[in-house]
Amino acid sequence: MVEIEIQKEGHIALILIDGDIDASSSIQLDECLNKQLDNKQLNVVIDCSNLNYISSAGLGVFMSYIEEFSSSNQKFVLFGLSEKVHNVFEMLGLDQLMNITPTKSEALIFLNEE
Amino acid sequence: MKNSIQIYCNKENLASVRRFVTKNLEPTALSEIEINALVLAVDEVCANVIIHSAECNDEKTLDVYIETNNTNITFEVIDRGSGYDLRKHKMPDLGEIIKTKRKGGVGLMLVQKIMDKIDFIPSNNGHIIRLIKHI
Repeated sequence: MVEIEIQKEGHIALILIDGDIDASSSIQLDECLNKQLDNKQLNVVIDCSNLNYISSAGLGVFMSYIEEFSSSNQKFVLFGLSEKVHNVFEMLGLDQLMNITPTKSEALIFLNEE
Repeated sequence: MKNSIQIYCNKENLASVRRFVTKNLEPTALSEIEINALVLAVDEVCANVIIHSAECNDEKTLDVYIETNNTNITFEVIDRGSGYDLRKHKMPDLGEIIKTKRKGGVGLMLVQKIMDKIDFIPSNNGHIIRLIKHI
């Protein structure tokens, strides 16, 4: 089960994920990221500090939006991943293909620098 | 020690499998990261059985067994559906998945990376997927 909340902070959409993203709940993440493509002005920062678990279904959703965001000149950054969740991204080398920072302030710096 | 759980083939029941596996691995010397990886491997196999073999028919059931000893942790997933031999699964190309915006295809890749041995054994009423991790 997962709860996903979206807050608007200036030119940024902040997405807070709380719970597990698995084959059952990944559709919620998919719908949430899809919505962000409607507002091309916004970059997206995703708070994963309460993301307890992610399976391939969740990774697949993130992977499917790498090109989508790039084509609409938007960026998304994940931050606050626990060690065990970060390890899952590392297993596939996704930590090198996606924008992941330790903290929210580093995520915001990354967006400003790009 | 050998413990088991049976669930109906509904994706919402994957959380019960994860809780069962976590509970059984917590007394071991494995780290939180190692436990999470093993939970993930079992979750991926069960999701595969539920979606592809049982076609989300929640009148069907699957069982998960865990056996631990001094050298190995063995998981067995009893699949009563049509079966899918995941040893024959070809590792997909990650770049291709990203380019084509596919949302699936990396679950069994994770299982192959996490586990030391994967067996696919035909049985009387289905298949047994046996996952072995050396400790």
